[in-house]
Amino acid sequence: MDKGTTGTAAALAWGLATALLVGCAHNSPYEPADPLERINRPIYAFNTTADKYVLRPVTKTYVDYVPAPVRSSVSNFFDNLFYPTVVVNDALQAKFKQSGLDLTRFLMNTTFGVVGLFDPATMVGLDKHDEDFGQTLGRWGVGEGWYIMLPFFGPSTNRDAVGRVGDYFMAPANYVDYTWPERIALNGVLAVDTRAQLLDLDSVLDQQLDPYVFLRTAYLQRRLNQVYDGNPPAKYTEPELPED
Amino acid sequence: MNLSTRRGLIRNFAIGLVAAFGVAAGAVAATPPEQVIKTTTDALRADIGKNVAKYQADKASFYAMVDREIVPHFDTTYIAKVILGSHLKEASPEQIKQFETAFKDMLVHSYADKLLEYYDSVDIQVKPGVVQDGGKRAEVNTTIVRKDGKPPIPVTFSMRNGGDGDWKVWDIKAENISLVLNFRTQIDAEIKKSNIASVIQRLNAGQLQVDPADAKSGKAP
Repeated sequence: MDKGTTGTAAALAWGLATALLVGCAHNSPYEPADPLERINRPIYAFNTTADKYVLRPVTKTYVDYVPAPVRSSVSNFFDNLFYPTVVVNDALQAKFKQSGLDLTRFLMNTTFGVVGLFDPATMVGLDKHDEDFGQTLGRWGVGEGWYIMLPFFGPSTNRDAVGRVGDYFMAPANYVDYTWPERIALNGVLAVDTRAQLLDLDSVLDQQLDPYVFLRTAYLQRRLNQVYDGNPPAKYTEPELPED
Repeated sequence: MNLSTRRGLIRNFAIGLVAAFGVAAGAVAATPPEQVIKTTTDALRADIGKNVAKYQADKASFYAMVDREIVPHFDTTYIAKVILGSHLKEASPEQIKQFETAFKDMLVHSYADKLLEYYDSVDIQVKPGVVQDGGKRAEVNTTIVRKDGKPPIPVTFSMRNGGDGDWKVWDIKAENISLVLNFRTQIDAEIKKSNIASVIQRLNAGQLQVDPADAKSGKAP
């Protein structure tokens, strides 16, 4: 991307973000705002089909044939490649100490960890953190808004969709001039690596009465957990419960 | 980057949940909540360790053990009530009972298989329980440590003291993803579309599966 298109893209993203975030309400995961359900469900069905015939079989083959240490290094590599977004989001959430530690973690894994293939930082106590711009917006008080199902990428919300765009611009890796084949290869491996970590979930999903609702609830519960770093307020996580 | 933010969505949900499920068995009466969780962990895992071949060959005997050892430590009546949620007042006592049975069988059979799969690949650390609400409720936090070195999974047991002195589990949360409250949301949508009797009937018949492509399965107006 040259500077002109980057600028236009950024301006477009900002406009879209503002439009999406206006009026984003806080909802309970149990009574979410899902006004697009009639569109979301067919998209979910499409994602499920694409997964069933393409992503899942490829991932199964990957897990079956690629040895665990190699898969682990692939995971580490991607974690590290996009880790600067964590450093930036730490700072945006005023977690300055964590931001410094995460920067150290990134530098250590990039150098001693051979461009992130290994994770020496965890061994010396620089633990991995989980932050992204969707969480930052949540921290700033933006509600999640509507639940939306994105083609290929899966569950999201208005807020988290904006977060994705923000994260994209925060990752130095996304400013590299890749050729299209490189871009496709990188994203392909990333998709398989991500999917490999979710294989355990398949049988749980299969046993649900309504996998769409299960995934929606689980996604929203998980995001709340992330925004509040493991301690979401009870008013969001517990509906009214019977006395006995 | 797109997929990177999605990494670990509901990561390890299955393994955490299942490992957790195993913890809850074989409690001793009138013990502190975390003790209920802790002392029974080893018993159940030892049982599976001893009988793993038999259980794998004969699922019925495994389910029978799960029914005998695990189910009594879940407050299934309360779980049924939580899941019925706002529909509780419309339900007759018989319906609550039927609902309890239907939910219990589904829960047990759905998750018991996972238990069998993961019993020996994790270790479970139990932290002291936090008793709330004047001694009626407690949360017991545990950490599922995976032997393959992947990040540990925080799992919380929500327990209640039903008055007979026994602490019983009514919800399990893996990384704050709640099993029971998630199920409640699914059931709520189904009841709104039809009625409690029809949902019970379909649960019992194993017919309650929603086609994700069915765009009409949204909430009834």
